[in-house]
Amino acid sequence: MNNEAKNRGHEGFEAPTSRQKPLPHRFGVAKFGSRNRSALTIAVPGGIALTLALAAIATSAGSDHVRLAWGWALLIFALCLLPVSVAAVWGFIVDRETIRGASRSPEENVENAWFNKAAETTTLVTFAVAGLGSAVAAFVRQESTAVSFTLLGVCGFMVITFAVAYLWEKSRAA
Amino acid sequence: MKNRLPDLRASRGWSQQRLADALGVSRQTVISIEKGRFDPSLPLAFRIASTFDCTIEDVFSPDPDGA
Repeated sequence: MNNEAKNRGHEGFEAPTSRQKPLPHRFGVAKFGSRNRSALTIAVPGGIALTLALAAIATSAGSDHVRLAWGWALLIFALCLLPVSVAAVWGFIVDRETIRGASRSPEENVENAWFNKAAETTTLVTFAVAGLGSAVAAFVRQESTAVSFTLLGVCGFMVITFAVAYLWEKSRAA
Repeated sequence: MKNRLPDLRASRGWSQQRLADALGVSRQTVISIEKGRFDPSLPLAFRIASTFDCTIEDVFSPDPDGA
């Protein structure tokens, strides 16, 4: 590279000269529609609609006890599903670059490297534990376990493993 | 990889947060790069070099210890 190019830095990579403007909405704006409205104005009603639909399906597909007390069942399902539904709709519609405090290149952050390593560790540990668990279950006489409880246990184990692995990577970098 | 990022940043009187904002990454990323515990991607290395008007070789160099 000649001196002129060296003085300019690398072609195609402009040196940022000013800091980013503060973004107007803490939770960003939607990928579509008005850029002046917070993404929450779409995520909250969308999440409520999704919650009611899922709660209705869960209630109608439930046992006789659930269907008999359908009012309570619908309310409990809705309360449990509402935060998840709103978060899911928000995650689907939000333009991530407009979230206040979010970095412009999240995939280039060290946190992304920690995430990838934690995901790798979680996969390997889950394979090993699930394999050992299957082997033990094959030799130990036991009553059958509901598939939903087994899957819930596996998911919970993966979440905890991921959290521990991520914090481990973070502490190593500190 | 070794790097001169702390020296270059200090020469401009920038904080780690200021550099992180300029590069579009988190402050923790700048800290990790400065400590040599995280090797940046090639596009990020180019952006760092452009920010300080120098080449990648001026900022980063191979670590003889292989770390």
